[in-house]
Amino acid sequence: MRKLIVRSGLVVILILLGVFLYVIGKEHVLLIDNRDFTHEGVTYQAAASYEVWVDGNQVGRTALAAGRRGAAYVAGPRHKIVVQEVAAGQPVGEPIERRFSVPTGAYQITINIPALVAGAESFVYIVE
Amino acid sequence: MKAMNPVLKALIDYAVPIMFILLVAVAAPLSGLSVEFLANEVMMRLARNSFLILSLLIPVMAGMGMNFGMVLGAMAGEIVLILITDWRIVGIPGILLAMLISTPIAIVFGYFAGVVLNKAKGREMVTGLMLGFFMNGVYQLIVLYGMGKVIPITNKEILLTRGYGIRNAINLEGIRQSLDNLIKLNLFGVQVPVATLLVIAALCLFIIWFRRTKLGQDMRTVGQDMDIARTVGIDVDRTRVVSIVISTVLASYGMIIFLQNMGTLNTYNSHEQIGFFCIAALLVGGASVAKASIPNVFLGVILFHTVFVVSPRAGAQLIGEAQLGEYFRVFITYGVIAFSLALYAWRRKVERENERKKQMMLHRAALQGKGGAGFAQADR
Amino acid sequence: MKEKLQAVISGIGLPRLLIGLFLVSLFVIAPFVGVRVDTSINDVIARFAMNAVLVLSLVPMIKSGCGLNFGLQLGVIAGLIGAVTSLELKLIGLAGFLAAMGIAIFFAVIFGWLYGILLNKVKGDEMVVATYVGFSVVSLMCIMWLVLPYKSPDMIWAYGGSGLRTTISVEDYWFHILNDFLKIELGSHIEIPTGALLFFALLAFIIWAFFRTKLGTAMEAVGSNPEYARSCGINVDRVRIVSVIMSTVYAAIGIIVYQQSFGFIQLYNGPLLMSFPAIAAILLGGASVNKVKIWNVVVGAVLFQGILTMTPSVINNIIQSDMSETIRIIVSNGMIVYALTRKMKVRA
Repeated sequence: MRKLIVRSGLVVILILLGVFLYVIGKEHVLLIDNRDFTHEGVTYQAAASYEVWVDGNQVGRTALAAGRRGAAYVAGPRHKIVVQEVAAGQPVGEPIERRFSVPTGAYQITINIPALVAGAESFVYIVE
Repeated sequence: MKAMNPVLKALIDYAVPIMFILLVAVAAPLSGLSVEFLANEVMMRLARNSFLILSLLIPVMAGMGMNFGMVLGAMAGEIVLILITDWRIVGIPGILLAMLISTPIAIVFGYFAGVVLNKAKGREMVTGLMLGFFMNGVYQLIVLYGMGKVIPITNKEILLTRGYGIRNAINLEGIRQSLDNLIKLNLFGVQVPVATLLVIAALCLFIIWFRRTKLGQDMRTVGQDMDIARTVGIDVDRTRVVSIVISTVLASYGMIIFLQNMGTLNTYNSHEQIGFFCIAALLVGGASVAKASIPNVFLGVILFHTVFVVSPRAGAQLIGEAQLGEYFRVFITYGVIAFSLALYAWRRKVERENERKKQMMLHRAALQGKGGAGFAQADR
Repeated sequence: MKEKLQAVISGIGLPRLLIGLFLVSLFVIAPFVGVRVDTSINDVIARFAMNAVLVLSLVPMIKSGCGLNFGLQLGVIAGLIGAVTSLELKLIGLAGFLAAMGIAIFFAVIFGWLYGILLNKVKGDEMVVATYVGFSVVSLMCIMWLVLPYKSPDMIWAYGGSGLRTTISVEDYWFHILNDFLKIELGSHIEIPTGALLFFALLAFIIWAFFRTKLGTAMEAVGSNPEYARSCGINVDRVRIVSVIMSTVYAAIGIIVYQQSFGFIQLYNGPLLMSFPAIAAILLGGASVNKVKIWNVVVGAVLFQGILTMTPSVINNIIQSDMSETIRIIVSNGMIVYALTRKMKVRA
């Protein structure tokens, strides 16, 4: 009887381990949009160019101009994005840093820069 | 019954590795490949294959011979990798998850194989071979027909155009080199995948420890003599099945390690050859059907794969056709297995006949003794 | 009544009965899924004629206790050499066919003799050694096919200039030479290759008659009880070698019969796995590793080729996709695995 409990416990642990690995290993594509974005009646305009870093790696080799889209591949649920406005190759103002979560079930996630810069809550969304 | 000259005996025992060393000595310079290139290739192949070959050791211990059924473990690993790729799990978590999920599948396959092999005692190797072919059919049933229809696959890239069935080759981009690159060193121009080697070392330690456990000792007894094992109270059938299950699980992990290095999965071909190459490598390292140890694995993988890398070019230089080198390499693989098996079978036959002669002599002596001293020596 | 039924079932063998019923059911379903019964029967007969001699070749070695001939490829290669050489000599028609057989038999005797010596040295483990010897020789021949000095333009690579092609047609030489001999046509879809069937009957008769000769009975004795045979003064090793030579020669003849029906000579890795279907067939027919009768060959070949022909076509039509290769792998190898797990009859 005790053997059964110990074995069941082990199986449960392994299943939990499996779920854990699944979540932290799941790959997601982050589409970084520097475009106009309308949400809940508010429109965020894409105005400037930005250099973007996700988890320490730069997205694209140059700054993301207004109206453009970049992509980054990441794994797992929690990430950090740093956005730095640039004009004529020179940084303007301070870099903005935000942390965000990605739902495990989604593969493709879109991040909107103007919304992020404006300080909106919902700059991360999923396009069906 | 004459005792064999020890030098002659050693030569015969190690005939295959000696042949291979000579082969390397001749073919390597002939091929014109640089030492650094060879060293890199061999290191990579060592890291890639050693785990798989190590999985063959335990069945040999239990007297099951060369486990041609390791292919079943390889298939389990492949099926799981297909799923992982579909779910887009990447990196080390992907590999670990693959190993985690492949374990129960490999256990089921291994159990099935073990039960079948128990019913074919004395013919394990042929049966294992045919079982491997049979399971290939079952694998195709699952992967070529089941996936996409019965087993949901969301990633359209890996499916065939008709909507179900996996493509011939899948890019394992997500886990490519994940284990290899984890810790990487560059020694004298040779890339060394330290993490992988650590994993292999861990397996070696496991095998050494396992040999000392009760289960391990039981297996060795079963391997030496099934009847004695039975009289000592060991459940022979169960022990044999367990040895195959362990080997199959290890083979599935080994296949995952193999494939993370390759980076591409040849869905329908990868596992076919893996059995032959691993067994050939083990035999080249001096192992026999009855005796195989860890040094055999490493010696074998280095010798076998050096010849493997070197022969196409050497063949081209020698005869002028690179294709010949390819065929030569396949011929060497099969030839090595044939030669080793024949050698082993011949020795077994000689031993059996010597045993028979010994029994006859004892019997005769007993009969004579009965006439003289009045009581008979019991012989077995 | 129940005992009688059980006796009949164990006489035929449960697996055979099941597969036989399965085959019959396939024939019954066939018309309903759009598969013509008469073309199917035609196919089964044609494939039987093609493969039967290869299956027959397994008989001598089973009888002499050498086990299932996993090294059938050796005989096949002798046959290939015969066929290719006959084409090189530009012989057509009956002359070409007989020349092919003659040359093939010559090589088969040599190969069989060497192979027999090897098998004698590995008594008890013949099957697994034979498998790998077979594979090795096929691989070795891959090299040879490239290197041997054959020049006939029908056979060599067009661009390379040297080395034999993988598949060589016998269309202009002796295609269907046996099949068309005394061919019987029933309706528009059934063609009975009488010549091939008669040839098979002749070869089967030769084996049957052989096993009634002194050497033949000696061979059977060696197979069922080598110790007893030795004590009777029979040279066990020599008899085994003779059986191996016979099997190899029959295999060489068998591949030529196969080629005249199929229309092509397949070199390189063509013969690699040829032993397995033949072995599966004979096991299906009721033979075991050490016991066989001629009718096992006939029943087995018919059942095996029947399954191989019918299952794919019927199932493909039912589920609208091509599963034939996979089914073939499962059935053919499954049979061999099943047979290998049967308990061997205890030798007296």
